[in-house]
Amino acid sequence: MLSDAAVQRIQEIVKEYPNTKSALVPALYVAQRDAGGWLPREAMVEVAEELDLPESHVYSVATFYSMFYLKPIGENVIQVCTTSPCGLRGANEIVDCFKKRLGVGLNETTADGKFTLMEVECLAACNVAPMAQINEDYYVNITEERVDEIVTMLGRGEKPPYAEFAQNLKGAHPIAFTDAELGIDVSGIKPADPVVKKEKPAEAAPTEAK
Amino acid sequence: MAYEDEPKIIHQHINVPDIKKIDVYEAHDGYQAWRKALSEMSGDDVLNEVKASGLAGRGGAWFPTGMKWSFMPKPVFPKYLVCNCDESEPGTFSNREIVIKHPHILLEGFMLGCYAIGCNHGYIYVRGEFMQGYATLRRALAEARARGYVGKNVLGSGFDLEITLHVGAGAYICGEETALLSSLEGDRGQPRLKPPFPAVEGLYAKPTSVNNVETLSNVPFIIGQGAAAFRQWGTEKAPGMKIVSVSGHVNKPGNYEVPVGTSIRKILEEYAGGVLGGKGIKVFFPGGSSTPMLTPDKLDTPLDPQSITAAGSILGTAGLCIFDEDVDVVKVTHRLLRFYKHESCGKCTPCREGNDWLVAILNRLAQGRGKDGDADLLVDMATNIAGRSFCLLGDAAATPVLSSIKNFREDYEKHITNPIEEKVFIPLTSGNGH
Ligand SMILES: Cc1cc2nc3c(=O)[nH]c(=O)nc-3n(C[C@H](O)[C@H](O)[C@H](O)COP(=O)(O)O)c2cc1C
Ligand code: FES
Repeated sequence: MLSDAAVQRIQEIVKEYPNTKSALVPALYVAQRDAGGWLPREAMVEVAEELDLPESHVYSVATFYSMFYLKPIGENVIQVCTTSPCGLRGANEIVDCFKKRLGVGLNETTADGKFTLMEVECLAACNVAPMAQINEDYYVNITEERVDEIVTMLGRGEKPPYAEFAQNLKGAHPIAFTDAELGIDVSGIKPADPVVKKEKPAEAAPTEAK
Repeated sequence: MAYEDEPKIIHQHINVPDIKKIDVYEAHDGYQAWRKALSEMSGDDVLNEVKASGLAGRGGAWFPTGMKWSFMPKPVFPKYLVCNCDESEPGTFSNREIVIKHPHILLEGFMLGCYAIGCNHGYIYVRGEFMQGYATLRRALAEARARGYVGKNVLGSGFDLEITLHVGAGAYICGEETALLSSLEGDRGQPRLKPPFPAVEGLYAKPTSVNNVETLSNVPFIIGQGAAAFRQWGTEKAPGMKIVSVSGHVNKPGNYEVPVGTSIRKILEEYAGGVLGGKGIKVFFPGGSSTPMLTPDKLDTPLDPQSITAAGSILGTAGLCIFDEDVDVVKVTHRLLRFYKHESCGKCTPCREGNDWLVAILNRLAQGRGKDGDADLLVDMATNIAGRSFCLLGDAAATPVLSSIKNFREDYEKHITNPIEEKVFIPLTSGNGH
């Protein structure tokens, strides 16, 4: 079921490591993007084949990390941070606003499949609380009005202006994308002048280890 | 002096528009330290300069960076430098700001670190949730490669360097250095027994140094300006600056880079704008949620590792979280313990089972259905987790329980019959734009 593009990206990632097992987490992101936001069993099996790993190992890793979904999930995943520093600044109230606006509870998906609401732990953005990770982005300083606007715009397939990150990756991790897809183009950058060596060698001379 | 006018190291140019682009970074002396190292210093020279600066790990343990690097056996190849950008300690957010706004300062520091230890292929482990940070670093790395700062025979120096960005997928424990290495090898992120320490047997069983984003981001300054310039700030035992992440009930939460040893009160009142609504403080933690809570009589403590230890806590990541006088510490502890329970990797019994039990007892207290002696029971269990778990996550989980009961035992007694009151809406004041 993995597309050729996905297999190609996985093979590109494998080259960055001395052993293929290291590419497993990135490969699972590629598979998750390819399968539409979650990891069906067949996708994990194919990753196992692609990386020549036991299926059981792939499954054990996929279940360890919170960012892999083993069941279908909403098109938009709203994850409000409610750890204490955010809790002090109204995070729980923001969760309530989302529940009310979406008509779902935590870990539930709306009937139209558009939104899943979740609670997550500290996202290292406690300075801009209350905040949420929505798809690939952080939404910061959320207020009740913004909840409404965020849901309305995402529901229409638009990206709300409170996002910090300009690209729309539909929730997939950027590691699953090629440079070209991410718009990384460095063709205009010229190589820097070489350095002029002053007597000392670049290689560290072996000295006694401590 | 206003905060903006104070000298800084990592934050000196962090708000310059487009500093994340390589031409702007270079226009602000970017990659000069890298050029200097390649043209006139050996790897050992770089290592010795970092040693002389007294730079210590900003990831929480404050272990001297130069010493950590010098522990790596010289004749063993390959060696690895791994940057820890897994930042997930509640109340800590300095690394995220660096990678989304100022990626090249980290890359330059990382290159210098690789050169110092003789590593030809280094890895930067970026927390899975930092997708924007990852994308920003990836673009920056592509720019640096196009300039020839990374790759074969860097700038004609004869030094080869590859850098790979690796990503996590949501697990606090992967910040612990050995769990991070397991994760980077494609396994579940579970910690490994020490010894052997990573300096001897780390990534792929080769000598490895794991260093925090902020630690490495200080290195371009140290190499560019010299160890003495770095030592003009901070204390004799902990020189330099530290980015303090201020969160919770303050008017201007954000990251403030200050000389190590600045008083907590100064950071809180002069920089972070004081407590929200002018209220008093019930308690604060000085270094992330895993550090013991302190009461407001400790506000004049200088923020350096030795003084904070003397005051009864740990400096840790310098994630300073302020709780105002109306906060219910049992509620805070309850929520933090849910965090640790969720993040326990499941490898060892004291942490896996112990956190479950701590949460079970805190749950009943939260509902006002506690039992006499619950506080003692919590202390007993927490004491049996701390020091007996496989890694420090267990100790971290025991900390809020022990420190809150030590200071506020009466609050626990109260909850034997009174449930935690439903939350009070806290009026929003926007962040300070950091
Ligand atoms: C449970 C746990 C979580 C940790 N999380 C992080 C983290 O997110 N980032 C970090 O740099 N260090 C973290 N550490 C500390 C690392 O193990 C390690 O000491 C650090 O990365 C070394 O870098 P430094 O010497 O530059 O500080 C954590 C430690 C523990 C026990
Ligand atoms: S507690 Fe929510 S981002 Fe840190």
